[in-house]
Amino acid sequence: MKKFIYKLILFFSIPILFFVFTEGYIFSLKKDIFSDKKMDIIFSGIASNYQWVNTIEHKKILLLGSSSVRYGLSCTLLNKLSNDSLVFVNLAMDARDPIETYFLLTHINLTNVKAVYFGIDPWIYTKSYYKYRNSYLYLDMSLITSLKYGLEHDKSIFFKRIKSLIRYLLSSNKISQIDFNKNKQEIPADYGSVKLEGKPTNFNDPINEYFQIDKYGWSELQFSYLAKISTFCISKNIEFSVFLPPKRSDYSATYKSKCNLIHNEFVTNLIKENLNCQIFGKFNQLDTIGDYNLFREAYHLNANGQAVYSAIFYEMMLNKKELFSLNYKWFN
Amino acid sequence: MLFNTIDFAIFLPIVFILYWFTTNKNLRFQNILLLVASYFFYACWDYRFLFLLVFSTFLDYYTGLKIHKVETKKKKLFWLWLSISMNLGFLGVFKYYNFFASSFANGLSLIGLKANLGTLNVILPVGISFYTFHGLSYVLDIYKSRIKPVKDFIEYSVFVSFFPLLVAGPIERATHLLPQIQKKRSFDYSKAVDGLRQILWGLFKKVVIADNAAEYANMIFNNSGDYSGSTLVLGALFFAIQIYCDFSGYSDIALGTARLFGIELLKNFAFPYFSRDIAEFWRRWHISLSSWFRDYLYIPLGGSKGGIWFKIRNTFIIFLVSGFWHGANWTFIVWGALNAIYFLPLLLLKKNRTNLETVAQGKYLPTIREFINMSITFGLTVFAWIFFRANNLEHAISYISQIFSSSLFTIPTIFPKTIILLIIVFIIIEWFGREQKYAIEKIGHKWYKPIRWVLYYGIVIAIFYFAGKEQQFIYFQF
Repeated sequence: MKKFIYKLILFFSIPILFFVFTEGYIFSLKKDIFSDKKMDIIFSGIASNYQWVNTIEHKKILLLGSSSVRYGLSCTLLNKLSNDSLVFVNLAMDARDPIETYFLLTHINLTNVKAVYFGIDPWIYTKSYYKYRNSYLYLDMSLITSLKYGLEHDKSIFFKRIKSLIRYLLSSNKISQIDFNKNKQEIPADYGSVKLEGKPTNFNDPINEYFQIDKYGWSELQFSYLAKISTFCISKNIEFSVFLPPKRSDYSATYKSKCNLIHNEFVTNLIKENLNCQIFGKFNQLDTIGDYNLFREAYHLNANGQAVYSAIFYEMMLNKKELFSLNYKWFN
Repeated sequence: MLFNTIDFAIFLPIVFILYWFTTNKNLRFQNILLLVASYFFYACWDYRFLFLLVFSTFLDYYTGLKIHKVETKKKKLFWLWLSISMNLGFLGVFKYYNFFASSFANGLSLIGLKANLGTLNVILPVGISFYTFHGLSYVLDIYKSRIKPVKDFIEYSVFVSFFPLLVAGPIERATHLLPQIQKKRSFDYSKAVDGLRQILWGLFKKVVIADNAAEYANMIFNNSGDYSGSTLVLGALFFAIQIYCDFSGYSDIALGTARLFGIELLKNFAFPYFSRDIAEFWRRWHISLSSWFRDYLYIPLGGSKGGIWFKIRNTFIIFLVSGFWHGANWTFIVWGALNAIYFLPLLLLKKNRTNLETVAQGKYLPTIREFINMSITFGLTVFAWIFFRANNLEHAISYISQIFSSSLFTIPTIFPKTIILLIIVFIIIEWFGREQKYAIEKIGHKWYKPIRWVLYYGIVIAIFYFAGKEQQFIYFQF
């Protein structure tokens, strides 16, 4: 009996010790894990897919953000609206966050870039959104949060944390590796914009439950990297503004009524990071024109909506910017 | 309380420690502990049905004593039928009343008559089919003078309610389990380790293979009208894998858990999908139920003695009853009838006992003939599973007719590579372990211990990493 208990304890203590040691190690290294240098090595690889941007020699406007920007704006339409005096380039991607965007921006040639417009969607700034992001970000969670998150969202979270730790350790003597000569890249048909045909499937939860701030909190990293993007653009003499991609009226109404505390926290976090930029757009931008025909679902515009919103966006870009502040009205 | 939950992971070590460290010197205390733990285990599911379990236990305990005590055959028969009718009465009310009421009303409506018998709004008490059969086997064995009744009510209650087998079997026999409960049990290191290994393998089968296969089987069966014939075939295959890994996984956990307490339960599965004919399949699938029906129904009916019609009648009775035992739905009855049809040619040609040994014993690979026979048997089984899984007969028929359409020769629209790869790895492990009690029983026995532990850690990691969406054990509903 003693032998059995001893062996059982030994069997379980090996992974438990390994687990405790790994978690302790992650905790002690956290500052270095999220240092700019390390983050650059982990995240900058994506830039090699965007070397086509460097081949555009016109004056450029860069559109940044996640899927709501990717599917929400058509660069070709925007170019036409500017009488082809500008080339709009859409660098947004599904679920893309400020962290990845920052390392993309710092590794492309910004000569001739006149302005950068970043679409902000509050849920991307939550830790609950990490399941859609680079698993390296799981290292940003505490042990307790990881346990909760593992049970609810991603059972493999601890394996991903260990894998990310190994990536971190292996990156100690590396520098960021971007293949600038990666094939000869064609400029995409609509300069990176895409018309949404299918229906995204990861937006099924009720809006107020989507953020899960009580359980997992906000991602300070995302806020700080948005501020870094702003600072970086200013240092390059590039105009930087944020804008609010529109949401379907039922969503924006629910968000307004049920998520006002979350929203206030979100804005306060941006203020805390000294976000210095202009802002334009409203969450319920398209309400007044019967928005149900313009959306694929609550968050994403369809092809028709993309055309309508591109014209509105262009108008706002020229005329309706305000300085980002706590008092900015997010709803009409 | 399910075996694949945190609750059970806490419950089991507590009972184990109390069992071996505080009650180990007194058999009666050990049995009381097992009974309390078993009732707690059952009450965690639904405490309201605990009274039914206790009543059923007392009924069989008391009638068992009476059958033994009275002297005339008439009186013995009275007590036997009292027990049988009460037990089957409970089962009938909770499990079958609604089915009979609606079938009767439907039958009358065919000849233009109306009947409204009403239905009962009751849920099925978990494990009722299993503990009812425990009790029935006990009183029948006493009646047949195979055993003497137990005098100690605690001992008898543990036999009926022992928590590893309480809700989904194996269906134990008094002749096998009661002597183990009545005898002092001492801790056996190698048996305990073996029990843990079997629990680990059972969890892998349930959490990794069955739960993942279930997601696709459910997706395809629930939307069968939207898929091509080839995808529906894949859906049926996923269900065949799901039901095997779900139920045999449960049985592995039950057997492994019992072994931790020094108790050996009846083997319930013996790699049935490697069978070369249907008779062999039924000797390897849900063995404790098949043998129960054989001993308490088929043999008393006369078995395979007598003329052709007699054999056909008995075969159909046993398979139809077996189908009906699984649930009150015509789909289960058709599933039973199909298996009877598969089985009859073997019985009539006296070939039902040709494949008694494990296939390709002592060899790595089967012969071509064995492989073809296994494939045919598996194909027939999968075909029958369609009826078992379908929501109703119309669903099953439309599912099958859609399979046999031109879309059968298209590429399946659903093809989850990771789960298919996991299933292939699982089948390979099962194949190489088919001569053991369970597939990984002997794997790594001669390996250097750290390497063997790496194998176990690998299985633990796979359980966490590839865990499918948690599904209820299928046999809980029976």
